[in-house]
Amino acid sequence: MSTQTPTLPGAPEETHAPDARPVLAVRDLRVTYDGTDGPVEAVRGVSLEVHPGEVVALVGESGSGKSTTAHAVVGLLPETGRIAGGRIDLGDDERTSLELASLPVRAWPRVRGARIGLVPQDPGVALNPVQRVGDQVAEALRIHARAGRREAHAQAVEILRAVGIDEPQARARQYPHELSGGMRQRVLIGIALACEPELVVADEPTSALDVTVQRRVLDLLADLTSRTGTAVLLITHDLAVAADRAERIVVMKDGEVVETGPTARVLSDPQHPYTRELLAAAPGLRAAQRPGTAPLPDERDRGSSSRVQVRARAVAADLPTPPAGGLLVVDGLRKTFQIGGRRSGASVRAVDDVSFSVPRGSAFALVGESGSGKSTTARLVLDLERADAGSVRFDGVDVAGARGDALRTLRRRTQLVHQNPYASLDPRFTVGQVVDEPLRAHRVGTAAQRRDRVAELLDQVRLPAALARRRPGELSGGQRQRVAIARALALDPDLLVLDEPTSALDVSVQARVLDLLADLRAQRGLTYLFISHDLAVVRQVADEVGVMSAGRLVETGPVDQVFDHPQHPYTVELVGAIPGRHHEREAIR
Amino acid sequence: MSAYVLRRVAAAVVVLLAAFTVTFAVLYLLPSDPASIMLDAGTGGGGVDPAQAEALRERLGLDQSPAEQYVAALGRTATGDLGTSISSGAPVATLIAQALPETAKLAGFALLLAVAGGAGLASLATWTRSPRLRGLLLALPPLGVAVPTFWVGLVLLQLLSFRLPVFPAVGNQGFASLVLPAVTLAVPLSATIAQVLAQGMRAAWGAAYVETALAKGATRTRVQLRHVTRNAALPSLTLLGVLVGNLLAGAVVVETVFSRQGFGRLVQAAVTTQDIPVVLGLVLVAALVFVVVNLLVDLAYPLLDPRTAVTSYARSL
Repeated sequence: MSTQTPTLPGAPEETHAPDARPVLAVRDLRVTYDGTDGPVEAVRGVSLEVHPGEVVALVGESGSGKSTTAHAVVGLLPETGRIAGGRIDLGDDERTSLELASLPVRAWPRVRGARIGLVPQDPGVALNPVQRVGDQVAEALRIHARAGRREAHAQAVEILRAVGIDEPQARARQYPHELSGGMRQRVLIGIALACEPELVVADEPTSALDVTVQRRVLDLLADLTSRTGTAVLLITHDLAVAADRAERIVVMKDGEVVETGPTARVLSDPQHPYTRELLAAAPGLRAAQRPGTAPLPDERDRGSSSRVQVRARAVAADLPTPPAGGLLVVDGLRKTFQIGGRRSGASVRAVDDVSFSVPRGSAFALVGESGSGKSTTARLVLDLERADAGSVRFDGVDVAGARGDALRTLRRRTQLVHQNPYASLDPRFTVGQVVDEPLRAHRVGTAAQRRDRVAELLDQVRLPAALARRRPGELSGGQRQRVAIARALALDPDLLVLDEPTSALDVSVQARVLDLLADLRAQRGLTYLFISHDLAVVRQVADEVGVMSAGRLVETGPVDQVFDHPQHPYTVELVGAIPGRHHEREAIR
Repeated sequence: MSAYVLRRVAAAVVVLLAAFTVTFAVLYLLPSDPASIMLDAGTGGGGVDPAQAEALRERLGLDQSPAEQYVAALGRTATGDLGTSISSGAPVATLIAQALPETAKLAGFALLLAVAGGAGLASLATWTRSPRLRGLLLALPPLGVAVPTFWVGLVLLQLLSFRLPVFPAVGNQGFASLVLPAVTLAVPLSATIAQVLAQGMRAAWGAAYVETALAKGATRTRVQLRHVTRNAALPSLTLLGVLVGNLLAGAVVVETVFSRQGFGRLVQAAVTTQDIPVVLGLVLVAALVFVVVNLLVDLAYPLLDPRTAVTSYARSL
């Protein structure tokens, strides 16, 4: 590895010996998409280098052009996209180096797989669902004639073993749907590395995975590529992941590179305002900051959000003493789901003896990985699902027993914000109709009063009133989630159940939505039940946290206590897997 | 698995019973009188003697109440006796047994052409990178669906039988006589298959696993053959079950245009003469074919798509 010295932003980084050729050199790359109003430039003069054995992270939010850049490098731009200018040079050896920007279509199959591997974004859909995984790994070898039919299969099993899959012989004969998300991503890493390419492009390789799985998969990728000296171009929206994994970071915004530099320098001394904004919005890195380290670019934000929490607590203190235990009291909740058939007897304990209490005006977070039972718990709390045992009491009323008027009142006082704002808003409704729907359903006010109320609600979530006539499809993800929040607030509820409300959003958008939620809680004395897999986000918004694993609540307590002094081994693992921690450790050293 | 098949067979029996009942009701509600039609045909349109007609009705059991007639017909059918034709007096089972093989040949060949043509067109249209060729190819299926079958048949006859005598115009003799009717029957079918398959293939080409395959270094041809086709074939397989019904309906027109003996011609003749036993028998056979084909399609599904194997297994429990 070369020595890295900080350089001025924008200036070409001369961090490598002048004679060392990079594996990948992108020079002034321009990519345009054909739009209805003529071509749209998505990548505008991007230059970057990846040297042999180096991991370079390309960081940016959706629409920044990072994914387009990656796809241009592997020659897999969508049909409407084309390279309008620049060079992409592959290979650190004069004799075998190739210029990819002008490479004819017919020549690409010999490059992809053999010289560049791609680790795709979503392991859930990136494997052919009707082909055995062993065959899919073997295909990479067969295409490049690295093995005959029979040897290819044997080698595929070895590759599966190398990427850490147990019983590779048996797994090779399985179909993708029989493997977990983490295993599928291991298979995809195996495919990408099968022919030992000199460069791997990893396009958001873990954004669809749970945090502990994410860590293991990224560890595996780092381990395998460092062993073979493979260079990695890591595309990520998560600055914390980049901080942990990359030697250099390239920050993109609106199709341009705004900052390039060694990871430590970019994080400790960001030059471009956008990099500072990203750093401030990255919850993992924000939580990782310690007094005495580099000056906090997000001091102001932190100040405001802790002020908000203080205010929220003050509001809670002003209220009459809540009925014993809190606004929401969950006691001994159990839920079992049958899987397979009725008579197969197989069942999953989704929620197993879960008890917690949420005081009025506070925010309680349930964290855990997919399948831990946190979403089922939320559904039980909202009486969308019936518990097998245990009770949910909301303001002293048993939720499961509520009928008729009592149930209607309950529905009014508890509201849900869904995970995915792209799916939770009816595309045929206008924004105004979406927000108005709960009012209509509960016959609140006249049409004119409701119209005023909708305008007021949109204002509260900081959306312009003119948006009421638009349809959800015309809105950005952050705007949609604000609409969903406005809808949830329409009936003036006491409890908001927020089911991963920001996991579909970009980090800077996420930061703004989280700030909005904090402000709303303070202003209105709301109580939050916050469901999340993202511990960094939880740390930012919640007062108390409950950690769920396999249906059980393994640890509960104030956020700082649980995260700084985790007691249960699972919590220790979960906290250790938060991206940004590697970087933190290095910074402290 | 066997419990699943048993349940599907039970469902099939219900379908057949429903088809029988509805057909019977429709035929009974028709305003005309089979006895008069028969006698009218016998005298060459010279008028019907009321007494004679009454006697014939009695002999055929047409004087009984609709309910009695229904129960009698159902009872006979349940024991495997499809009755005899009113117009010819021949056993219905024999008539169908004579007609069915001819139509099976026609329909089978047409299905083969339709699948080959539809799949070929869809594959080529999604495989090619030329937008012009793709546009041209994808314009064909709507055309094929839109043109009437009899018109296609007449144009083919005109071109390939009368102008250029390549194929015989009429009859059931040999393979050559099968070509034009099968092509005629296959045109709307292949168009429908091409539409659905092309849509499925376009979706598959946009799928992430195709990107994975391309990233391995697979060529477009390889991706089309190994990854796209099988994934896109799944919805088309369901469609195939429905299209078999279209084939039988299409056979009525095609066999008439090309003067071929077969199931379609029998249907046409029986409906014209209101030959209730024959029509009932034909409807039952058609429904049976339909039910069996769809059952086979459902059973074949898990073989093509391993993901459905789990659910069909669960359903059988």
